[in-house]
Amino acid sequence: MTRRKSYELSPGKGPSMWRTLEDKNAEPEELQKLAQEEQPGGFITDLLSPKALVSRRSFVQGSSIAALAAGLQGCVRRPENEILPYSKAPEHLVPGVSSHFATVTARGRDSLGVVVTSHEGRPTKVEGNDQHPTSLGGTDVRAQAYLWDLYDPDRSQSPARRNGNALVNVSPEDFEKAIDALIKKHEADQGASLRLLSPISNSPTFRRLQTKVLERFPNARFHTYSAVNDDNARSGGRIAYGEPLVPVYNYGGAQVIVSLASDFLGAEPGAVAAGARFASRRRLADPRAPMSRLYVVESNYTITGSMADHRTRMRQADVARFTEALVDQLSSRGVTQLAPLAEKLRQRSGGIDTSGLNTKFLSELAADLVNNRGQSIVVPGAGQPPLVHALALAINEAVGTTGKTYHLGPNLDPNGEASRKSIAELAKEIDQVSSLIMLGGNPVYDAPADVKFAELLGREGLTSVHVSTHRDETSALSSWHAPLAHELEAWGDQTALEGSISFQQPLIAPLYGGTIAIELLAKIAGEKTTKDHDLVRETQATGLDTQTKSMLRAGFPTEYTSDEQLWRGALHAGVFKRQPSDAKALLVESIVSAIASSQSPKPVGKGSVEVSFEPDPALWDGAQANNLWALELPAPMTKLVWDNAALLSPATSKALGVKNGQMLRLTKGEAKVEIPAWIVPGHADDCVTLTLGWGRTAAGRYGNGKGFDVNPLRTADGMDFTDGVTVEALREAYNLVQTQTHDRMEGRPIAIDATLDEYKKEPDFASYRSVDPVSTPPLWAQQDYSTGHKWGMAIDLNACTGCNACVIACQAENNIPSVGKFEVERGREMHWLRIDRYFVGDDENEPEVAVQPVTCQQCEEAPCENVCPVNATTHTPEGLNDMAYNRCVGTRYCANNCPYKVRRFNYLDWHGHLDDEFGWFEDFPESRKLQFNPNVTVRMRGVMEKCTYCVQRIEEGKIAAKRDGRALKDGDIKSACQQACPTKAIAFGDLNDPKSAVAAWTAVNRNYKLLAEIGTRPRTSFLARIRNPNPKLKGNG
Amino acid sequence: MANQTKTPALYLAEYETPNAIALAAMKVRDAGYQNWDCHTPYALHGMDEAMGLKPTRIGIISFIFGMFGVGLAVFMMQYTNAFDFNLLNVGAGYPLVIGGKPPGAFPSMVPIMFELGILLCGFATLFGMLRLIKLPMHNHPIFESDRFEAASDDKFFISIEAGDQKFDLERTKALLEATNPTHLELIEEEVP
Amino acid sequence: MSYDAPIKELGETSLLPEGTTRNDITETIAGVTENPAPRGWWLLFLLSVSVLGVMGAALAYLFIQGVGVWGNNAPVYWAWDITNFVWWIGIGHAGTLISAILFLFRQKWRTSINRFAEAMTVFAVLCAGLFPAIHTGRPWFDYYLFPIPNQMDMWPNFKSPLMWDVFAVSTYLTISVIFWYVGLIPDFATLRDRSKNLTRKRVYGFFALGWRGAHRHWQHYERAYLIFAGISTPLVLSVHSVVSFDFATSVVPGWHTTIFPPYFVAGAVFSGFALVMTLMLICRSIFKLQNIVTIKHLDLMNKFMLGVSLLVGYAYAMEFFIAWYSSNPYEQWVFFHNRLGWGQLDSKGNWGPLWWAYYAMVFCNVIVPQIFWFKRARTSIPIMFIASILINIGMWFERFVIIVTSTYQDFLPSSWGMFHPTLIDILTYLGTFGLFFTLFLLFVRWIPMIAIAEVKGNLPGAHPDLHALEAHDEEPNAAAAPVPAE
Repeated sequence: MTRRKSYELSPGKGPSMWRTLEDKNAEPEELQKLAQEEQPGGFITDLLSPKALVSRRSFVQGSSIAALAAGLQGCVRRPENEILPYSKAPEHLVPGVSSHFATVTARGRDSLGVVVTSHEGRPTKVEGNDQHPTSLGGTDVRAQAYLWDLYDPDRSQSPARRNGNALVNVSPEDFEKAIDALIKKHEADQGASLRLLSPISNSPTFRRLQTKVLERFPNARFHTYSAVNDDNARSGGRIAYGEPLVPVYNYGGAQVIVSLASDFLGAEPGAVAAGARFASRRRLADPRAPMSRLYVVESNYTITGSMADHRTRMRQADVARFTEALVDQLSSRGVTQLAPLAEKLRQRSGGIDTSGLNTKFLSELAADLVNNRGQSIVVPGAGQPPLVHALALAINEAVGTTGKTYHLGPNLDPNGEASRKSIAELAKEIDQVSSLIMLGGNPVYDAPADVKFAELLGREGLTSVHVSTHRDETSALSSWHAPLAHELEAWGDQTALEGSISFQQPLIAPLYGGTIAIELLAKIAGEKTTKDHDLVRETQATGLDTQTKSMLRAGFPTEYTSDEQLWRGALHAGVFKRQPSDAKALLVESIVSAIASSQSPKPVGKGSVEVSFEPDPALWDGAQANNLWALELPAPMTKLVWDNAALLSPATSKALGVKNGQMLRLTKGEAKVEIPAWIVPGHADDCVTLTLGWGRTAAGRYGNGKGFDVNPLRTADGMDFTDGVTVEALREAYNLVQTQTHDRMEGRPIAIDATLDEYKKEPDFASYRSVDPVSTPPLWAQQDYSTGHKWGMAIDLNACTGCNACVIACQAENNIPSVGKFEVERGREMHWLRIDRYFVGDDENEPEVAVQPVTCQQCEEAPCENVCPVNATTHTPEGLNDMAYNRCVGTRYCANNCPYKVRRFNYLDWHGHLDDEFGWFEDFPESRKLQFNPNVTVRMRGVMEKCTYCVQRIEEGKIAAKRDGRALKDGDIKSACQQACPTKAIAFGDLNDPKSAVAAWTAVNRNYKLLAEIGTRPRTSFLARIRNPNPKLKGNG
Repeated sequence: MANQTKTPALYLAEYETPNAIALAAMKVRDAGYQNWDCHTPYALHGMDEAMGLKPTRIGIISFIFGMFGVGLAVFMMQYTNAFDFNLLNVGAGYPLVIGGKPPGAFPSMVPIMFELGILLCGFATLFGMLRLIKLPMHNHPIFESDRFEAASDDKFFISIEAGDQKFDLERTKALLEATNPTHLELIEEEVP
Repeated sequence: MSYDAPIKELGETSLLPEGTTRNDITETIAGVTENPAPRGWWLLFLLSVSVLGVMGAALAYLFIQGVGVWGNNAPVYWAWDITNFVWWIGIGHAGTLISAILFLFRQKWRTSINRFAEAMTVFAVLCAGLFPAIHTGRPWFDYYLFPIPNQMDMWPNFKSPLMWDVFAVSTYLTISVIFWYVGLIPDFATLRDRSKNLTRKRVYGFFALGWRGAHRHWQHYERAYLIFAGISTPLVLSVHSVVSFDFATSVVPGWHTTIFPPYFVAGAVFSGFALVMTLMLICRSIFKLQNIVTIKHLDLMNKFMLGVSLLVGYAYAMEFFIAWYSSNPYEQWVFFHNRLGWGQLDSKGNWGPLWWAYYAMVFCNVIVPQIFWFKRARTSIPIMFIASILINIGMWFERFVIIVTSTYQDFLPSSWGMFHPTLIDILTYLGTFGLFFTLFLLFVRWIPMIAIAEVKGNLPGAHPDLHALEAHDEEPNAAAAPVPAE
């Protein structure tokens, strides 16, 4: 594959952008001269010290906006095929003014459209793309965190080949020679002994090249493996519709939503859009507004469960029985479409066993579904067996409405294989394999234990090539390794489940000259062009041509006509929209036969414990295991950081006699996992939930050895949950660290909530519970904020799911350091925005959950200001509670006097001390410095800091408005947390602007202020949460 | 030294007991001397009367400066926290909104007014006293006498300085001898 | 005013043995500074200097690494640092108070203790002042706390109680030092006149300012001294009130209390008296001051401490009453859960984890002093010695309880935390004892530890009786005849 040469200057070829007229009319020679002056110097390169991990050259390549500005093309790949700014046209050349680019990041077979902010060519922040159907303006934790991976100092930085037991660096040229040799070798046998393994891909170009490769090597074979996959859903689709169709639900259109162990607000694909749509029907302005009702059936307490109006906990295995019973109930309540299925289920040996199920809950749920027929959804979890998915599809067909409450996505990847099968078959055929090319993934760590992938790689005569971002467990065992380019470094195209196609634009040249998967494929396929951009263009030009045009005409103004214009338009928006595909007919017969061929699930005996596996919300399957932001992100329910644990219910913990942090040994066959226990109120009994992605041994300096690897227990037939695991409590204890150690409100009016009925009876209940003493006459003349801007924030607790996206968004935007487990244990974590999670209710087995994002409340009468001896924190005329870092001496008096405890203190130099002990990690990697937001001070040791309402964004917005000579309008300024929030739970704006959202929310009757009785007069207010329980069901069902 | 001439500086009469010196002091007082003093190892009470001294004015000084301190405090705090003009180019104060309170809020200024009042009062008392008693003055002809060292131990002395207009080598000597001191000497100082 | 006889009720013999001459006094007191130091002194000195070294090391580490080397965290942003500050400043109160108030009441026996009581004050305040200076995150910017005109036109915030502290503590230190020094001037003169070698003469001479013991000096001097005594007394009371404002003016439950100023002053006097007692008992036996500081005096001081302990106990009780009466859930939580422990259990049924600190405080400050109801205890040296030490421990815990058990569980349960001290916390605290005793030992060695001039003024016949003199004025050499003491 060709290394990128720097492009010689060719006048006229470059984009018609210039900085000055001189530049524009300049002669090529001068331009040449300009180029020389332009590239080496400049403010960007000054960032890099000699020991920088990023060579200045490669960095200039990536960030040579200056070169671009002069209309030059020196040593840059981008001018050849430039990417287009999202909102701010070529003005983005102004140093210090950030530019925004639309791109996309993969979510298995789904994708998430994002907009990336770039400062002087450094991507610094990821935000949602409100034009993108999978984002709707929001993002998730992983999207916020994946930027950090780009600057991960432990990324693989050069190709390497195996020498004895170690990998030795080789030059890129050597690696290419090796690949060429490999390809040549296989031309002989048509690739009979060639295998390729890659994670699930959602890229049409990838699939196109896949077929190309197979055309060249007919006997070769592609295998697909992702530890977290959609096998069940696709098989369910096959049963129900004959092809692997996956439904996309419209939670906004539904009155009753039933989650069958589906964490559709968290781990499921499409969670971001799901959140937005779900919240749209919960955001009540007044008691009479329609509000959906959510029933959740699950084993672990997920954030979806925390949003439930009724939640019943049961083991994963029992969900199948529950579903079947539900089908039966529905058909008995006159849902005729389900009659044949119910019939078959009853006939089947064992029939429908409802023992141990909450039948009251079941019947009321069924009744509710029938009453709201046509506007109901049943959502099966990715971990549930295919039959459950098929039945759920049938139920939706019956009680839901296609196109309204859900619609089926297109068949994107007709011949995509199921991960668990695919990898098992690779293992089976390993004898015939002489070369294995792995395009990403880390199978040695996350492949099913029974596949024993490590042993496969170790075989004699097997040449394995592993292309990955890190030199991970798999690279260590492969014969060749090459660095893989980050998503922000490569061109690509990705489809979303609902069908839209988005384009992945590089914002920076590969920092370490990484390989790009589709380029490597093209090379293997022997394509003429092997440049990612051209490959993508080709795909879109040929394969999807007609469809694409129709899409675009649908999605875009007609003045875009030429292909070039269409292409630019698509890049600009970052997405080709797509009309929903027409409905498919449900194949009842095939479901019936599927039922017939299955045996009815039995209630599991008390003795054996069920173990179920979940991806970590931040680390996912381990891909982000070295990501500092992800590692220090408190898990939504347990608030654990820097570790994973075996989650179990209070009852089970009593039965086993274990305390929090006590080590457990989980044994199945000879597979053993030792992991500390953590008790989660509301977790199902007799089962243990394990999180994937931890316990990496070759993740990097931060992730190595953090947490516990649970993959040894995970086998191909028990990838989602497995039964018959014996659990024994060990004597030794492990130190697990939480960011929030006390999880009860102790009867204080903090995260206020009420049922819909109470709300109807008493619409302003919230303000009664948290009384604001502003009514009492003040002792002194109050400050007047009635003129100018009056910034304020309102947070709707009815919409907030506690997904943590805002926490990392804030961390990325404000250069907030991570401090390490040892310091978090001492309560020194630095997150400006934290999400408080409280368990509500006396029964620790059936608690409700209340979440509340807490950040600086920007009190108008701030206690912190009165006590600062040096005026380091004072009020602006716009009512912001400002911190002057340079003035701060660090008495910490303000933090003592803050009732919300939102101030954070730099006890040590966190940028030098990410530690388990003092000074554990002294130097701060150069590459990480590139991530910093230049508009926010990097705080030094001994300084107090806190949320500023993203004052840098406020000023940016005001300046922009002023430059355009217009008034600032609502929505011009979005705080980082507000932007990231998938459910739009946060409104920020000018309280003096009657049309602003925040002003409207503040006027809503369930609005209240936290700890108002202290008289701090916060600018941030909360909208109390409303629960909508079924009147016929008591408590949690 | 030889070429230097010596001029009389003062007479130094030594006494054993407080009463003796008190008696002597009264005599010297009645003789109408002004520029004279009694040297005692500790504060002899009643000597004011015996020497006919006017009461001290130190208290007034302390009071005035104490009040000045209070005023200074008020000015400093109001100037820096409540107003924004630049006086004598020491840097402009300016009002800031602190916790939503009025910049010049008076109650919060009381403690510092008190403290600054005390501080200046203290300094005034110390330096006022030193000024009144003309100290520090590390050299004085009286230290020429070897016996005077006892003045800080257990002996009492009366010194009549040559500066006094009634001073006369003979008559002053006679006066002092009449108070029968245990020892009497004339201290001379050298003038180059 | 003339010589006043020993107070029989106090069991005072005449303060000094019969027949003591002025010269004897000079010899004994000044002698201490002139004779070679006893071996015991050297041992103590080396010990305290090495402890001071430990503090130096701890501080160096602190400055290099940052405040994070202490156990302070979120939400406990203040812990041992401010606890030690308040504790030391409290101790610093008794010295000046005793010296000044006893002077105002013309208590002659003060002359036996006022000098080292004042010294104690100065050194204690030095130790106290150390902590606010080093507890900041960026100590090299501490000067921001002073209203220094600067090109940035940045001024301190005079609304902050911490600012009031800066003024109160620095004023207090300054005035205490001046008060102490003024008292020393005549004695420096004595040392100057007695000094054999030139260096001593120069040094002491420098500090003596050329004092000639002239009565025209004495006249102003005595009035000035009276004024110092007069302003020191309210100053002492103000300083600890201001320190209490640090807490009283905040919103933190358990700090936000109007009772604090008197409560803190009582506590300060309490701990101050306790330390004076401790040191006095030591010096008394070492320097044989039994008949200057009589058992009766100690008995009275014990009664006084009993009284103050009742005051402090009342304050503790009143806090609880107010917490209950206010029906403020946050304040009730702090008192009944965080301090009392069992008074209000959390939803898991746990006691407040720091209850033991509260009980330690109550035991030392309220229970222990009750023993002074019994005369046997009031007059037994060992008992009062141990009691005085326990009281100081208790007073340290009082500050710890106020500061830590209020903040570690305040308003939002989500941010509740816990506090654990680190080794550096402990070393820094111990180190201040090194500082204190080093200074104290130097003082004992080089500066007259008892006010020479004042003691002389207390001898029989120290002052002339003018009327008697007027009477037999005419008689020759009457002056030579000793006048009988009244």
